Amino acid sequence: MERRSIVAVVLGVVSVACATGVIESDSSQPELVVEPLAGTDARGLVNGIVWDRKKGGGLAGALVLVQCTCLPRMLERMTGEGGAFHFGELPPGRYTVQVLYRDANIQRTFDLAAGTRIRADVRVDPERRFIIS
Amino acid sequence: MRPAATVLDSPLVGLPLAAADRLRARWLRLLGGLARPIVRRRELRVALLFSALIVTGLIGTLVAPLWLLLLGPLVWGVPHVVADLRYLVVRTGYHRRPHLGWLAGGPLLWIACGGDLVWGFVGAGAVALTARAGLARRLVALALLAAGGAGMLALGDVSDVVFAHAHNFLAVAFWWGWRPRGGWAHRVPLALFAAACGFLLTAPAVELARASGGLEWFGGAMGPEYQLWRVAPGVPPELGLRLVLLFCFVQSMHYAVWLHLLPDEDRRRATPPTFRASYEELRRDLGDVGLLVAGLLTVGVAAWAIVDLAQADRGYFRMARFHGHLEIMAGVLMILERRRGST
Repeated sequence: MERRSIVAVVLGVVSVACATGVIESDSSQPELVVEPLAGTDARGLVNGIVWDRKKGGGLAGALVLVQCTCLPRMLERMTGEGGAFHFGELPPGRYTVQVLYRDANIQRTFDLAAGTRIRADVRVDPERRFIIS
Repeated sequence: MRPAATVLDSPLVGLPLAAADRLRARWLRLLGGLARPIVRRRELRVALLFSALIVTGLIGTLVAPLWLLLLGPLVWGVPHVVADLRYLVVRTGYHRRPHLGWLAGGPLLWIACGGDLVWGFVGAGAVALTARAGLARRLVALALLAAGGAGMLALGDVSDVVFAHAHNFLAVAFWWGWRPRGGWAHRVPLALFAAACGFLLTAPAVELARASGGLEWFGGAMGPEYQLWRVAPGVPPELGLRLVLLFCFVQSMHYAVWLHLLPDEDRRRATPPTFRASYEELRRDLGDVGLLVAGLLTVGVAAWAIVDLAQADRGYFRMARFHGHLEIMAGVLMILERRRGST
C-alpha cells in the first residue's frame, strides 16, 4: 500500500477513535470497588458518586443509566445533592453504567456477581464543551 | 488500491456527476448572455456567490438557528475538515516536509484527544520556527503565538469558547488573503458579512429569531439553554442569545468558505470546471483511499446522527477539535513564507 493510503487509513482510524471518545486525554476513572453484601442474597447492588473533575465535589443532576441483558429494561436515575446514585436488587450479569452530564458521556462496564456490591464512581468535567466547528 | 478505485469509478458516483454537469450546462444555456460574465470573471462570480450565501445564511440564522447549529456540523463538518487538509496541507505541499508532520502532528493529536488548546499554540510556534523565512519574522510570529497561548491559559474554562468563535472568523480571513485582490467586487461580500455580524449582535436580531419561532425547541437537551451554555457561558441571556446567533451565522459562513469559495479561488483557471473534473482533481489530491475514507466518515457521521443526534453532534466535535489549530499552523507558515493560495 502506498504511503498516502496508509496515512489516510491511520487518519480515518484516529478520527473514529476521537469521535467515539475511545481516546481522551482525561478519561481516567476511579477504581471499581467490589465488596460482598451481608447475608446470602443472590441479588447485587451498584452505587457510586458522580464527581466534578475540576472542583472535586459531587455533581447533582447527572443522568445515570444502567444497562444489562439480564434486565427487562434500562434503569435510570438522576444524581441528587452530593452526586450519589444507587441501583439495588440487580441480578448478576455484565453491566454498563453510563453517566450523561451536558457534553460529558462516560461509560463503565463490569461484571456484577451475585451477592456483591460494586461502587462505580465516575469523574466528569462539567465545563467541557465541544464546539470548534 | 483497487477496491477503492472500483468504488470511486462506479456508476454510483459517475451518474450523479454526469447528471449534475448536464443540468448545469442546460441552465447556463438558458441564462445565455447573462451567465457569460459570471462564468468568465472569477471575482464577480465569487463575490456574487459569497453575497448570496451571506443572505441565505442570515435568513437561516434568523429562522432556524438551533437546527443550523445542530445539522450544519453533521452535514458539512467532515467535508470541511477534509477541505482544510486538502487546501492547507496537500495542495500547499506542506505534507512533503516530514518535520512539519512531527512538529504539528503531536500537538494536533493531543488536542484531538481532548488535550488543552494551548498545546496547539506550542505546535504552531514550533512550526513557525522552521518556516522558510528570516529569523526576525519567525521570532515575531513566535512571540504572537506565545501571546495567543498565554491568552488561552488566562481564559481557562472559556478558552474553547473564545477559540471556537475566533476560528470561524479565521475562515473569512483565509478567503480574503488567499489571492491578490483587484477591483472592488470582493469588498461587497466583506461589507455584507460585517453588516450581518453587526446586526446579529443587536436586540432586533434576537426578536426576529423569537418571532420566527427559531428559538423554540421540540425537546431534548439541545435547545437555546444548551447553546447558551455551549457558546456564551457566563454571559447574560439576552446578550448570550446574540452571541449564539452570531456563532450560528459565522459557522455557516466558515463552511461556505471552505467548501465553495476557497475551492473556486484556488483553481488556476478563472472559469469553473465541470463537476466531473472537480471530482477527478479531488481524487488526485486525496488519493483513492483518502477520498474513500473521507466519504465513509461523512456518511458515518450522518448515519450516527439518524441513530443518536446528540451523540453524533458531540462525536463530530470531538473528532474535529484539532482543525482550528491546523488552520493556525498553516496560516502562520503561509504568512511567514509570503505564500498566497496553494500555488
